[in-house]
Amino acid sequence: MATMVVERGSPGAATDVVRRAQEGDVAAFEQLYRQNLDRVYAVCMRIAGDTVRAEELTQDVFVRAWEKLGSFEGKSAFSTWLHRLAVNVCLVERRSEGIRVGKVFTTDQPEVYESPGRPPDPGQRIDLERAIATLPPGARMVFVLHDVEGFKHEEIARMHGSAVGTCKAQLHRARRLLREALER
Amino acid sequence: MITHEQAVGRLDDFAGGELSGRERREVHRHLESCAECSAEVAALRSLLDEARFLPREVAPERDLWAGIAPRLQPRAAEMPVIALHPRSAWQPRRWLLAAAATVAVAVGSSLATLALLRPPAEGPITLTTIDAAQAQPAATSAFAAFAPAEVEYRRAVDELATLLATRRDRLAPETVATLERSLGIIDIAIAEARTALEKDPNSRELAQMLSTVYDTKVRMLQQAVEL
Repeated sequence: MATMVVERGSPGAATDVVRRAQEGDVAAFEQLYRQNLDRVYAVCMRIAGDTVRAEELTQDVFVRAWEKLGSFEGKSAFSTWLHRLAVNVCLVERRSEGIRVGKVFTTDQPEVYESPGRPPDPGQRIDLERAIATLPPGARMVFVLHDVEGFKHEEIARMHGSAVGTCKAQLHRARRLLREALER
Repeated sequence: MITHEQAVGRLDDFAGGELSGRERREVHRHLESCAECSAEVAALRSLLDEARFLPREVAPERDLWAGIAPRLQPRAAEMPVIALHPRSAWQPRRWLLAAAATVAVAVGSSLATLALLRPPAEGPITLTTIDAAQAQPAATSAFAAFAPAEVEYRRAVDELATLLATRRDRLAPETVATLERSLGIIDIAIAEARTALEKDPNSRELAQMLSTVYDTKVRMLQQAVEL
């Protein structure tokens, strides 16, 4: 289950801001943006592994949220809905990127397809955040969604359109690479 | 008793707490006699703990709103809401517009003249056209008043159906079969409501029924696209 983010302010106030944004109030939507920016950016940054791409993805997420706001029915907190949307936007981007560069996520041996990530700076201690950024994209995505964001393999596989076994293989690889990086 | 190789293959799931009771006990028994696997599990759990404690929020180095605001297409505020009668809790037009936005339906100036059918306090149905936020009342039948909305419904349906076709292979065959069966039933309902409205063009109830059935179709397609 994905981690939830507590709405800032009172629930009633949050609901009112969402309602106004649904009615086309850009100022209300900007308020939602400012309340949720850091949470959305965090997931985009970790999945993208690159701050420039993370900024682009974050902007895409909020544009998409504006477009889809009418479908938000308030069954969950807005922040939860937005977080899920952010993950979806990142996954769609990953899929299209995979198609563009011919890297696919349909094998139980992902190392066959993946080039190594960016090497860490030599002689410098590497923390987990930086180690995640050096992972190959597929392994990084699964690690972030599973071990950081708390999604189940089944959820990740369904969202990404891949097999559960593939997700597990990616996660195993990610954990192994991270431990190697952190032990240096 | 599982073998060392079998245990190694389950350590990831064991450390993440994802094994069933029996499997968990089997691995646990193996760990009691295998220092190598015990060390592996300890290292995995340490990594998982670190991952879980990463900050939930990270601030970008710059404000990103400037790259978002210009991309926000005008929505509901500038668009008329079709309401055959007031619905306090549910506004189908809002999510229809959202569906249309989802599939990137171009919103042109024609929307500014969409019909807004208002329930009269008494007497015949009143048609109000919206032009630059200024309403101009005019009288016409419920059937005629519904026509612009039907154009939008059909456009949204076409766009969503096209989008769905590109994602069809991601759906289970049973889901596709159920969806097609349900859409077939809805199409029959649309045809019947429409025929009835043609025969009784002043019936607000029939126009409302037709609107509701179209709503159902758009909602079903939208949900299928998002599966």
